[in-house]
Amino acid sequence: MIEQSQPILLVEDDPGHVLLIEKNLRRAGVTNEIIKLDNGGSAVEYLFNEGEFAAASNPIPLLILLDLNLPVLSGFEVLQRIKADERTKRIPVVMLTTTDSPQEITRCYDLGCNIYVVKPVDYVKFSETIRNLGLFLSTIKTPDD
Amino acid sequence: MCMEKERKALQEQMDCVERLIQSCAVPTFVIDSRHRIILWNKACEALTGVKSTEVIDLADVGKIFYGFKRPVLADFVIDGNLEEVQGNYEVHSHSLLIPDGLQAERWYTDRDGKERYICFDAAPIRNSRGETIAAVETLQDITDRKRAEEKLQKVATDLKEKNEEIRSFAYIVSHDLRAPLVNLKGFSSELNRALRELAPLFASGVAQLAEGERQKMEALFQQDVPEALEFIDSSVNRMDRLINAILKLSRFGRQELKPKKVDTTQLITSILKTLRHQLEQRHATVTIGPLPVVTADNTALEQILGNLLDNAVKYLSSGRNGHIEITAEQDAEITIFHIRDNGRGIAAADLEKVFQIFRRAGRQDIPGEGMGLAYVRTLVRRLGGGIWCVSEPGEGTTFSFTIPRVPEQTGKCKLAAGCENKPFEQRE
Repeated sequence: MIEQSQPILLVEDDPGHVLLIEKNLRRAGVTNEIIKLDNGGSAVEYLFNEGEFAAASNPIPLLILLDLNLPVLSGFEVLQRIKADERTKRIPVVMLTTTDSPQEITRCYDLGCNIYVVKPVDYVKFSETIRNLGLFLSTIKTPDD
Repeated sequence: MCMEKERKALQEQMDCVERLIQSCAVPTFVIDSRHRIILWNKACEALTGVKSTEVIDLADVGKIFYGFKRPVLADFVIDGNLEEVQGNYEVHSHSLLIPDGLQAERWYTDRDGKERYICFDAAPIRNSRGETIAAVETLQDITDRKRAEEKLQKVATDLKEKNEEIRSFAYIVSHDLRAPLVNLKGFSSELNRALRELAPLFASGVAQLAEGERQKMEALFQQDVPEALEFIDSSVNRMDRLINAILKLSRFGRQELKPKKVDTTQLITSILKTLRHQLEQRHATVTIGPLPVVTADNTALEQILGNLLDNAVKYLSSGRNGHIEITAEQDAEITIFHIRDNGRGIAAADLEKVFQIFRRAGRQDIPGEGMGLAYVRTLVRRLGGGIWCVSEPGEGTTFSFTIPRVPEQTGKCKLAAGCENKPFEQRE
């Protein structure tokens, strides 16, 4: 079963998208804490206990939902940092984006992202995707189990 | 006596050569093997403002020209010292015409302080034993050409930048506009969901109200609010389709081209197979003229011909049996394809409009986004060709497009590679 103590990290700069994603994860039965950050720089600082998170000892997230189009550091750069570091490279990363450009999808997979989700304007599809992700989360085992 | 005669003949020959060079309109001078000026023509006087009498026998052409000691091209020819040319001229090369000749270009300030761009040509003069005994140098003022070139270069650079701007603009518009749409769509769905959950509560609550109040509340809850949400929803969908259309257009403009041999008869036959059903419905016949094998990107060509044929079928007249004819002609440079139909035709005023994005001409009885011909034109231009159409309303339309016989060296568009990342890297 899902590891309740591990948070989910959601890095997304559009507050509307944050709310929609959160609502749908909750509807799918995900009860984990969702840590919300609105830029790539903070995401890196959170994960590696740097900058404003230097004093904290943040728990390793169960999953990272990462928008591609972020201020400070782009989703690509954050993904690159995550996958290049021994401490974080095994955390599953789901890229969220409005872009369905084949080059960008390829680039994300090349950098080691696990799933690439295009935010569709078709809301039914979007919420289904997020809910499926939630259902998927509530059945997977964490790497430590 | 005989010797005297020979000497005289030789002198006459020499004078003749000198007069020839003197009357030459191109500034020309000659130096001997010890770098001394032995000839300085009138045109050279005019260019430099220095009289021939002032310079004959002097060994320093560089100083006359530039005001300080430095070798000129003819000096390098005499010494055979070609490596040092590089440091002294902006542009230099071996002469294409004269063996062992040199060519160079550089800016030169004349005596009046006027900047001139000069093309220098120097060549050795050899005796019968092959020894270099002198060097001749000509100077051509190509300032006007240089300035025109610079201007053209600037225009080309500007155009390239503008093009890049438009491309990345389309890309940014398409991507950044979609993000708010996700919200509009998402939250209108949330409102719909809330309405559904509210419905039983509303029903019991509203039952307690007086008749007039109740009717007013029901109209709001059951009609006005759902109607508003529906309009938001359908507008978002339309906006999304339009944005996707722009995105597709910008992708076509940047698509990687892989030119290879394409048998256009085969290509058109396979496209027509996919249109068979529509053709049968319209009782339409298709004539395919002898078509060439061309060298072009197969996908782009398929999209172009597919769109044009699809249009030809879609806009056939319902009153008569349809006929579509595909022909091609070639010259040394280009291949021209013609797709002729006997359909409803396009009014003269709409001929250019049909290629614009989101513009549709004539009766709007066939669904479409108005993007097909915009895609086609983008793709044709990408292949290095052009497209036009001739039409007679009620009679039919002929769309014609060209592609070069030898594909342009495009490969992956360099601009495109840059645009891909911009929306992300530009963020602060």
